[in-house]
Amino acid sequence: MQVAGLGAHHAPPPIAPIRTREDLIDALGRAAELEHAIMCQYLYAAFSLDHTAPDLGPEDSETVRGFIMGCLLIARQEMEHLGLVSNLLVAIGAPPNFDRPNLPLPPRFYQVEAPLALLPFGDDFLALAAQLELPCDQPTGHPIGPYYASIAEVYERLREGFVTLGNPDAPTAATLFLGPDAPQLDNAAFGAAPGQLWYDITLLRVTDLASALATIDLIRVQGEGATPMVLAHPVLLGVKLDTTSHYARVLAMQTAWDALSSSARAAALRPVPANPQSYPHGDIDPAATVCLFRDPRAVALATLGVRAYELMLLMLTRQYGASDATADDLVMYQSIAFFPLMTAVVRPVSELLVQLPAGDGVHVAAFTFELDGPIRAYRDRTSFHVQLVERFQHLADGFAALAAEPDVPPRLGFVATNVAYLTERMRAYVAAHP
Amino acid sequence: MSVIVCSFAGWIQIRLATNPDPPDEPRGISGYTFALPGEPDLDRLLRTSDPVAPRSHGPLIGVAVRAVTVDGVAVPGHPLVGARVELRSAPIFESVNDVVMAAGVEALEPFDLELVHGDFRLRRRDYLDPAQPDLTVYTAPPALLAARRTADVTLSNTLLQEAIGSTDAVGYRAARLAQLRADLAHTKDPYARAALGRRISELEITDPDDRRTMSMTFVETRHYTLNGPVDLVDPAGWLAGLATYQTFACDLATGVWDADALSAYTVGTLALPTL
Repeated sequence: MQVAGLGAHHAPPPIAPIRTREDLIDALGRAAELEHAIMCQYLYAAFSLDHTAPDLGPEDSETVRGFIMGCLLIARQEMEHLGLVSNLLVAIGAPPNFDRPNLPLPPRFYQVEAPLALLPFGDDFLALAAQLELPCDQPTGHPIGPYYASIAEVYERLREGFVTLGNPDAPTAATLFLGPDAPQLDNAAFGAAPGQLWYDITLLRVTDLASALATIDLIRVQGEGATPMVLAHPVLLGVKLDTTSHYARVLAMQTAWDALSSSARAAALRPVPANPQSYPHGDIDPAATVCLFRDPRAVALATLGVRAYELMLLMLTRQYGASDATADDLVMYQSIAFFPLMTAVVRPVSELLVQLPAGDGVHVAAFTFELDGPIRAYRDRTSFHVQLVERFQHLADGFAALAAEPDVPPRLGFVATNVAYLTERMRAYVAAHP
Repeated sequence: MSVIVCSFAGWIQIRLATNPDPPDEPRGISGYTFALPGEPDLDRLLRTSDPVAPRSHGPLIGVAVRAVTVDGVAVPGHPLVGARVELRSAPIFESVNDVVMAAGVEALEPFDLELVHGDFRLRRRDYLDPAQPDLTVYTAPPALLAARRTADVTLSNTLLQEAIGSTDAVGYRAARLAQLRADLAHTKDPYARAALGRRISELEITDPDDRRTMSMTFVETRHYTLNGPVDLVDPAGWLAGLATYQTFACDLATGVWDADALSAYTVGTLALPTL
């Protein structure tokens, strides 16, 4: 129903420029959720592919492995972007944001024209990725309409906001960056030199306007390929920039995908559904097609996987911003969240799920990236650590029970062993650091 | 009491996935090492001989005793010179992507050394705890496992110079790249072509600060104390009077990681006390 005279026929207003700290915090919070969701999209697409499929010839197999490598590389850089946005948030006195809504989300959910969805690799995924990574061909500082055309415009607005609030003549400049001592994660935390690329990522510390702009421009050059922006920042001169942006990589993958025969494409793709769920959600795009798992093993493993993922996010939340975490705590969070949970639990679970049936008679299961509730920032280390041990123990029990079931991939035992070991590590740490 | 010290050196093969791939990744995806088309899955095992699917133009795999001293005095003609040095019991670099130990300082476990020369054989293992020979990195108490950390991790050209006769890691990789490109030009087999293509694309990453190249100068040093039962077959009495009731010290330095050939260079010493 439209009500005459109440402006029902007016065009939506353009997105307002950022003029206050709260504007900046809100926009960065949404950028964090976008980066997080886009990371999930690339990971999901990567694990939908099987480069070892017996029907693939050696050349096609390497092409498909290249798709997986490309998607995982971009996903790592999206993780980096999430980390960089977290540093930007912390630098201006806000907590990080590792929360996000469940997927799929309709177009314009974040005022971005594109939807967000977990799609298997293929034309639909590549088209969506290309739309999101589309370079901004407008002049710097151009007015943005009612919706962002791509992620580049999100950062265009953020950049303009930082320049407005942080330039030396602005009354807000002196207090915009509340403290360089606020906990952030940078290269030094991982033993890398400033500006060094490691695992295809680099993390910059944000302490002032120059480093904030360098951070935003780094995100843009990796996403859309705006190389001249990065070359303007001395802090980034040490970065051995990969000249291939996400956008260029996506287009190259599309070209290579198009060149594969239809039989090779069919062989490379696992029957992974779009938008898998282990239980129904009320917060997703109601118009989108979803696949609700019905196989109990798939439901159980998907649940364990997202619990491990959630645990990782909780630890990351404690790593950024002010908290009562000790220096030892921060080292422990980092030593558990990154390699062990990401690469020895979450990724193997992603690869195991696609070996299980979804239970709908058509698809295999897949990692759902569901979040069962908001990712909260726990402020009290004692209670957080008690809950960490509890959560790890629940995971260890769950993985051990599932690994003991018949007809589950043997690799699940390896994951269960690793989770059990991490649980004991966590228990020992908490006992030794009351 | 006298001490015979065997100094050994040579190339080893380690077919392992690299971070951020999971430790049990069978083919290699997000790291910089891969099982190539036509090759069996990666297995993480350290091999001192009998390499699996050795790569063309890679170093020859094999570790041997190069020199022997007795109480610090070189004995050039000692019969153990030339003995093969083998690591048995399927040793693995056990970081498990930082689950068990941090990468770079991780344990090489199990450590079960054997010298073989003709009919001669000496084999002994360094158990995490000789009283509990079945302990693994997962079941060993943390203090025992901590003793397995690398003694030192450095960036050094010394081992590189010894292994390849140069300190030019970039040039070493460039020469390999040229060889593979030349091979590709006359290779018809589709598996071999795909394998060469993957190797070439990795070698084309020439940034000296990239870990593909920089890791050629990583050197990890480990100390072991061989404490298990001694298995000695010594028909000629080369180690007559070997003090089998004492532990044997073994030092090992491993580096020159040739990611293209999945190979590394190792040097070490084994000290054998004799009565």
